[in-house]
Amino acid sequence: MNFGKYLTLELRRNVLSIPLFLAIGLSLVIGGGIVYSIYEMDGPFRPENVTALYSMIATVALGVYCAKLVIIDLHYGTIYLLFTSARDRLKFLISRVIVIMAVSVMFGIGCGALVYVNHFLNDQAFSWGDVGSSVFHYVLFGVFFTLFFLVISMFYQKTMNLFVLSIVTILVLPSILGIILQVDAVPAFIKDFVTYLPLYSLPNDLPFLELESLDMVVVTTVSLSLFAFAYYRLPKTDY
Amino acid sequence: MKRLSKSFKKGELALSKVDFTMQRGEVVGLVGPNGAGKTTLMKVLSGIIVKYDGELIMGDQAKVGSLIEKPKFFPNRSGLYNINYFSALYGASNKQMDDIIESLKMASYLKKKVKHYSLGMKQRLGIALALISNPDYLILDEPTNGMDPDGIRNILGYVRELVKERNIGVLISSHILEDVENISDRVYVIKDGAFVNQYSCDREHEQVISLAFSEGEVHKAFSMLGNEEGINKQQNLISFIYDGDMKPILQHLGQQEIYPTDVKSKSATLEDFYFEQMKGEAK
Ligand SMILES: Nc1ncnc2c1ncn2[C@@H]1O[C@H](COP(=O)(O)OP(=O)(O)O)[C@@H](O)[C@H]1O
Ligand SMILES: [Mg+2]
Repeated sequence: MNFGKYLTLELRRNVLSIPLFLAIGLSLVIGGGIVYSIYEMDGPFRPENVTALYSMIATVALGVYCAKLVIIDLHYGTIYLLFTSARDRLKFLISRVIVIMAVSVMFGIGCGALVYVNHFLNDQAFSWGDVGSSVFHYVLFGVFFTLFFLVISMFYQKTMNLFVLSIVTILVLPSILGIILQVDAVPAFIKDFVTYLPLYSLPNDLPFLELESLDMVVVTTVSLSLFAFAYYRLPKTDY
Repeated sequence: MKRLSKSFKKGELALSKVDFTMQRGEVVGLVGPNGAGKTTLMKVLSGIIVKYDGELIMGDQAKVGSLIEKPKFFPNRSGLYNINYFSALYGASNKQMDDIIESLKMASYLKKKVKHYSLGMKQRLGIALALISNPDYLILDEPTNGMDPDGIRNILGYVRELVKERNIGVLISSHILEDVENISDRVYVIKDGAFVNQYSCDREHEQVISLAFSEGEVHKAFSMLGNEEGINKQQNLISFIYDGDMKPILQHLGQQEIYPTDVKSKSATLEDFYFEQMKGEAK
């Protein structure tokens, strides 16, 4: 399979897509509501409230994209046309990472743009670094969850259940992990573990763009490991 | 491929020590009951299933195109989009695609969304996509399912044409034994993951002999002939596949003063062969 053509087609299919623009548009509208209320009432919100509101829709939509990207070919049966050789499977894997990066960058830019508008209208703090940080946060989120769902789909291939599982992972799991952190009886090392678990840190810290450096290192390391695992195992997986 | 076995996690053997060879330029049929392992074998051959025991030997860079189970393709896009998408990936020329579209008579519904396709239309799209990579071998898993008789004739005729013109090898499964027999050079019968027997479609066919007996004598005749291979009794008819001389059989019966009231024979078909194999295994 021609990788360049495949990547181009997949980018076009997933990035220039109406659902993506709708999701970003909706996130902008909701985040924009905060910008507007700061403008009208002169507070009491801060830029992090703007990014948090933006992220309400954006994280769910991006999460759905991550899941869709790795499940859809399985669901449509197009996997039978794509997975006929080890090389093609690796091309598939690499294309997933690149496509989700592109989609994540779009969400990140949307968020950065909103912070800029807030600065422009309301004179609140802003630096170009915020835009970079926003893009970086969304890319980390997108890449991690895509690889995470991909690895799950290598072991379990019932597509509808996979999709539900993905939604639960993004919407419900962080709160459950949050509850563990609240329980006194849970030993400190488990709490530390949960805090740095990308499944917890990403959904929790992305809204305020406040992943610590250590969080970023952990997310990057885990993502690289998932990628390495998928790179090694995907060609050896039955479909 | 040699001694190929495949088991899934639940421990059941889906394929058990299957020996299988095929060449370019021939059509090989694959028949067997549901769950026999046809799809599993086809997935192995097309590289979708990669974990198995045994040896799979393919010619240098042999390309395999396949239609396995029933893909939905990109259902929200047109057939044309699907075709263009995959021909971009596999470098098929426009001319090549136009030929396929024309041969498969797909032009009239190509612009419709695939989710609105009938099963037969989808099967044609599947065959077109399987051919996009210009394969040396074509694997078709029940491709005529859900097609009207015209469609079946069209598809099978086209497959034959491909074999002749491009010298590709075709492995085709179907539950319509007559179709398989018509298109194939030889047919593997598979059951419970093992090849039961092979049927050659161009051999001098054996005969199916049917002997009718009177009510009183049919049981006795059946027990006397009981050692004939694949013998079958239905009411007062006893039938079996036989390619030898009838005289000793009739003499044998005559010794007990049993005579058939009617003797008929017809050429054995894949169907007779199939049911004989299925019964033989059940013993
Ligand atoms: N992914 C799978 N996991 C577990 N068992 C499977 C899987 N696919 C097929 N099987 C089992 O393997 C056997 C052969 O199935 P299959 O090749 O689909 O048969 P056929 O196509 O001849 O109807 C069946 O018993 C089926 O249940
Ligand atoms: Mg099957």
